[in-house]
Amino acid sequence: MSKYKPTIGIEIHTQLATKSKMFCGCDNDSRGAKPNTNICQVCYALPGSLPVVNRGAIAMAIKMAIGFNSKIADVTSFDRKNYFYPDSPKGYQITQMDQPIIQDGFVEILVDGEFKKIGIHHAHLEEDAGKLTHPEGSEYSLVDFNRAGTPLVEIVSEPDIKSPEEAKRFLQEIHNIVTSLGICNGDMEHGNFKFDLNVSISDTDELGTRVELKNLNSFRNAERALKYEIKRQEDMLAEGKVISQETRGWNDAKSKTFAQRSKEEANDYRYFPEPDLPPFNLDRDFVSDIQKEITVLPIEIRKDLNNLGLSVDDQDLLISQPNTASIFADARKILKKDNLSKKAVNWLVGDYQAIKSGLKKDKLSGGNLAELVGLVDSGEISSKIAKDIFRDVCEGDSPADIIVSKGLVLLSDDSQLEEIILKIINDNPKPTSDYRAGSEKVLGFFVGQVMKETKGQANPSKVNELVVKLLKG
Amino acid sequence: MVDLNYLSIDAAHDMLVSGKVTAEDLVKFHLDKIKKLNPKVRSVITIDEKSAIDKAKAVDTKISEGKQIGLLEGIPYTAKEMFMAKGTKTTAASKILEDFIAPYSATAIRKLDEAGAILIAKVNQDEFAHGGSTENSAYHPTHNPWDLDRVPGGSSGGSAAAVAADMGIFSLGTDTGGSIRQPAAFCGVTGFKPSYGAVSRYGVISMASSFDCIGPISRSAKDTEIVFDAISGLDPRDSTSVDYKLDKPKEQLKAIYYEVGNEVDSLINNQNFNHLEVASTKPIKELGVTEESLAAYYILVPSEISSNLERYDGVRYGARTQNSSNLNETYTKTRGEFFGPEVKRRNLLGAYTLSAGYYDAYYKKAMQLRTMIKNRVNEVLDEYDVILVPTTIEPAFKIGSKADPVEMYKTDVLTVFANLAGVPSISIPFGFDESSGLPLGLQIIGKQGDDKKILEIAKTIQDATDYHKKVGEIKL
Repeated sequence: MSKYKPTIGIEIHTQLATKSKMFCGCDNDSRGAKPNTNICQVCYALPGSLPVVNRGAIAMAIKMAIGFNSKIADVTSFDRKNYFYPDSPKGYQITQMDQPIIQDGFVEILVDGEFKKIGIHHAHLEEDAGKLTHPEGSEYSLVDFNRAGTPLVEIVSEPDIKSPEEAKRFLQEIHNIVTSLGICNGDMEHGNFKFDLNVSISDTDELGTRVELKNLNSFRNAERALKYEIKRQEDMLAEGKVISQETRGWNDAKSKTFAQRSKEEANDYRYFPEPDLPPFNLDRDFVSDIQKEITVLPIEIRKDLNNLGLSVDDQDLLISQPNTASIFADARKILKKDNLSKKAVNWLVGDYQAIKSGLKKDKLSGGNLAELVGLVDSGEISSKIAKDIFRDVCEGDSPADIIVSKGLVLLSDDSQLEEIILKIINDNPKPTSDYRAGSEKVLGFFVGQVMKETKGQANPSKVNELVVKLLKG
Repeated sequence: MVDLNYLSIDAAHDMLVSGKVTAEDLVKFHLDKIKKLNPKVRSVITIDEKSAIDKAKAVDTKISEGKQIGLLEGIPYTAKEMFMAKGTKTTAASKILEDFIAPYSATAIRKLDEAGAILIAKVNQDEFAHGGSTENSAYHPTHNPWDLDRVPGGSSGGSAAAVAADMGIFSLGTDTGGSIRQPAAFCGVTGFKPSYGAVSRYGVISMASSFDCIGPISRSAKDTEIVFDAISGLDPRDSTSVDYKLDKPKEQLKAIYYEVGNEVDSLINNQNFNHLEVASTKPIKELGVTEESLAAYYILVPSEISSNLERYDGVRYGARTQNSSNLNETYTKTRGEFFGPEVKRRNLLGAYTLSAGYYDAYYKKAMQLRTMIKNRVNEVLDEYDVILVPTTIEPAFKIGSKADPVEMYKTDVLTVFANLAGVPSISIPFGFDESSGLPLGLQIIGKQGDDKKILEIAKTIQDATDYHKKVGEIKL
């Protein structure tokens, strides 16, 4: 165990899944569009154009605030961050500095079976820049402004994270929240959810020098980069070297962090209040309407699943699939008992995941799943039959309807079964006398015969009980 | 032959409706004036002759079909180079936008289009509206129709000179610190800076977003009101636009007049203009905001300018240097070659006052000062319905006489406080400078949203006086 303790703070950039861009009416989805075709005077920064705040982005930020247990600012305002770069059409980015819309919240992560709170310092709205490409061998670069003006929320954690594992769990939790609330599509490969990690180590109460690891976009790499960086800093301190405040990148192929920019090269962004957008009050009715839309938060689902004793992997799986989580929530409401609910989870994380993508239509409902679990539990159908009909259930049919139409109901009726058993006893005098002479093992023969006669639809425990009763005479 | 010289909007409208003149002839009359006078006045940058005549013909067709026309239909006007008008060259009088054609129209232009007014030309200004004399135009200075050796004022000097020379019946200008009112005063015409937000800024090149106001320059308060009614109102494309409940004034109004030591002082004393009583006269020092306003203005405005002008970087549109070998040079050389000296000065000043370490000492302090100035102006306006104060201390000065930028900044000393406070102010012609015979202006300043009130007062004063009817004779 190292004597140095790491302190980690994280900034996450999430792209909002709004219909239009942050400050204009352009489509927020430019996939498949030719460069510079999804632009207007505002996002291309023609002279005289002015920004107008997208209400949909505000609504999503409010949802996020609810997910982060945050205060929703009464008054929020925008600021300008000035810098020259070809992908920045206005020469400044509109962001939030003084009065971010989300202030002071927390999320809970599950570490070693315990829930731990990680503070959210704030989260603010801003706009994305265009995209630069550098064609190989050419002396010029190209800019595509289709992405310019895409709404982003930057989430800034408190430095409450104490290990790479916690960092990973924190990132996953935030990802769960923003995807399950429909705020962000969470596509990390396309940069819709990416993060910067700030890490320092210290053997005293005072924080060490902070190093920023920039632009990571996978949970696994975040964990690896942090492990590497903490080790690097420990080694430096052990050798008596001084850690310098800098920005570093992560080289996946070499599994190493590498220096990018020192603090001295930092820009002066000349922040000041955006004069084209006056500060505005968040209407309480607007906020409470959004609150009503959110029925269940991922953390509530996690706590419930955790109480059921589900593994963290199963929890993650359900939470990361909002649709599956809602099927479960509905089923749980009907089933009520923990042991039955757990059976519903088993269906969802097992068979359902296996066949999901191959379904003609994915119409599994919580009600049908609960019914299926109930039918097995009451012995009306066997697990085998349940498995056989699960695909139909997933495609929207009610389990009760299926078993009726296919004649799959188990024979549990005593008189019907007794009639069959008596006939078998009469037809087989030898085994009958063997049993009566004390040979218990012939019992299996009789049960087998009954199952054969009923084509497997007899309730096995019932058959056992009746065979014994009738053989004993 | 009917006399088409110096028509008011009303008079022109009546002539159109009664058939005394066609819209085509009215437009051609003003285009001819441009052709005749502009070589001397040099107000116009681009004439839009063909499109103007086409639009006039459409109005004539409408009239001949016996259809009703609106008050502004067929009325020729000009607009400052700051205004985006689809298909027209829009340069902000800068080399950096020398060949820039506006691909869309400003809200004010669109509203005038819809009202049927006809844009005949785009007119000169100080580059990006940085200046008070129109000498900072990257193309050429404009000359004052009253005395061609003198400036028309600025930055909307092209607009004021055009109206004074009858090149169009009215013009649209922008006013960030006095840029409508000061040239209006220098050229003997009426210039109106509405309340901040009363007219949408959308599509008008930004100078300093929290100050910029759009307004008309015309030959009377009556014409001014007609244009203001057409262009004002809430615009969903401008988040700073405001839906003022514009009230007509109450019966008896009380004004305070601040003396500045020019001829206006003696003309105004003890005047009664029907419903307006000049109830108190005090030296300007007692208003206590003029010098302070200038100080706050020249920190806050360059700060906003430095940010608003970052988009002129040679990347997407406008001029780009031919002499760069890397990205940084593209920026520095483009902006170095195509921005004029005053634009560079303000960019540097603004970048400095916003920079880390100086923000608190300059920008933040100036913002606090702005609040104090606003409070002080409102305090006076709580006691009096309107503030009366001359628009400038001196009449129009000689071209080239104010080479020191700070001397030029000082010409705004009586106008900037209205921009800091966001209150409406109209400058009307009021008397003449004794030694030069040049026109002087009087400002009427009201509370934010009192636009209709001060227009009403301006009309009242113009009913009782004829300063606004005098025109400068151009020596050809």
